[in-house]
Amino acid sequence: MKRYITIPTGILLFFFSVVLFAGGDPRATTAPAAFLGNEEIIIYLRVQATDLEDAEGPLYMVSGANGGEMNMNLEATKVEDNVWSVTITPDDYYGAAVETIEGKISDNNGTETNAFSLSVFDPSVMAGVMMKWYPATAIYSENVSVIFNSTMSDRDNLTGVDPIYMWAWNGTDGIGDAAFQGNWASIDVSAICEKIGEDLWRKDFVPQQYWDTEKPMTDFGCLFRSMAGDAQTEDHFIPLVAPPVTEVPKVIRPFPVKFTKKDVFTLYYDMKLETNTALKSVTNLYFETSTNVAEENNPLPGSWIIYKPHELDRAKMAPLEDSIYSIQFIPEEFYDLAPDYELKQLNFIFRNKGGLKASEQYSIKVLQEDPYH
Amino acid sequence: MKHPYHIITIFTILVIALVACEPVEYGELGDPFSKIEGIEGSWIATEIIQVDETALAQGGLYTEMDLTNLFNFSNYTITFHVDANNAPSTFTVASGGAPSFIDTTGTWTFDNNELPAEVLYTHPDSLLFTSKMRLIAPPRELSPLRMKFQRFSGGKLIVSYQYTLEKLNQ
Repeated sequence: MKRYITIPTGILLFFFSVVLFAGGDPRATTAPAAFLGNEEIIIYLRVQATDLEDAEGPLYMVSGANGGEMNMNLEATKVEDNVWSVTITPDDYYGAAVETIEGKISDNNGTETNAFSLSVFDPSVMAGVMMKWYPATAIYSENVSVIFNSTMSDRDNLTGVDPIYMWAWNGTDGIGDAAFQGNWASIDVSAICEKIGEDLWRKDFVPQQYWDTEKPMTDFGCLFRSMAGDAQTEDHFIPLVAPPVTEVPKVIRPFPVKFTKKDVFTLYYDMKLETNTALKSVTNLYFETSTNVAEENNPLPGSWIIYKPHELDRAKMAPLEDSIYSIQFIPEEFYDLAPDYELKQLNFIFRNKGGLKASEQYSIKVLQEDPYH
Repeated sequence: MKHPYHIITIFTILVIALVACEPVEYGELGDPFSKIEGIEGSWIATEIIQVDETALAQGGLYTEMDLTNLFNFSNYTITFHVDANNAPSTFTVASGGAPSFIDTTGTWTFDNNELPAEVLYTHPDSLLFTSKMRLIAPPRELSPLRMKFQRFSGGKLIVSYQYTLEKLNQ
């Protein structure tokens, strides 16, 4: 009887340990969004809200194809914070006709994310269909592929017309026609679709870039046409959404997310998420701070016994609601920085006045302002 | 007895038709409102909103913060002067202790006097533009001035500050 109990318990423990070490779900997207196995593609690996969030790298894509073993290892290039990329031609890279790619992201310390999966575009899905777009939930700041089967035009006959152009506009958000497509009578070559099969065309772009805008976009309208504009489809509309919000509660949250030493900076500290339980009983919360990697520009160095009460006021956190505290300052003024001082990061330790109860050190990156832009 | 009514009716219609055919003189379209005159003078901040452009572009939860009553922003005043020919000339910022993200003195101009999108500032020691603000709406008489300062890093817009200013001594 005892043996029967032990085995399922072991399985449960094993399952539980797997859950504990799960590293978060990454998002993998591609350029082009609808890609073929025999073309060069960029895979964007988005690690926000995974165990590799804010990793400095190097990071690797560990992957396999068609449901096989994930044994291919490729170093990724950092594109921006929490977005990394690799460039491959799937069929060449995996040495087979690829239908699916399965992968995960890892670093040198063995930290890795959960697995992601990508599917190669299958042209046969366009049989009897005029238009499809990928991904089905298109995001305005990421690649979108619109696939057009010109034999199925819903207005004029476009079979055999080569090349096919896409005429695109945005009315819902008032952004107007796509930025570089020219005008109806003289359409620009940048509006040409890419031929990916017989009478099969693809237009791949990042909507915000294609409209040269930073505004969020609700949708865009498009039609496919000949160069002269004497044959075209009806108007069609493709909905767009914002990137998924992957913000996870953290002990500290800066506002804005990216800032320079000249910006108004607000830091929120959520005591509920503090791992040092001793700190949770503190009612008057203070912070020690410095800049860059060394203990530079600490406004209150050494023991705080030597400071007068009003001098410590600048290190006191303002209580908000729900055990959240905040501080707000302009770094250049708060640390009294010289004009040429290159501020790269801010360091914070949250503590009680005496310093016996303290958090770990948190660091926040500071960006450099572009010259006149 | 019917005849007199017919005659009166026809006569009335004729009179109305004749009056209606007289040419109507419309007033001439005036010159478009000068954007330079629209911005000339002293303006004080009534609202300052900090926008996290990174969070906004990424669909983040927290994108704006009202700074109006912080860092003395409500004291922030900017004055645009024009010369004798009504052309843009100098400007001065009286920040009243508030941060000023542009130069505090120098010369100003629009990027386009007819359809301005930006106010360009030049520090007295420079021959080139040194800072600028984007107009959120064209300057109009009796309307608040709305413009924003945009901060870029690595070629990307990261933060902006949207100013709403009321004209002083209007």
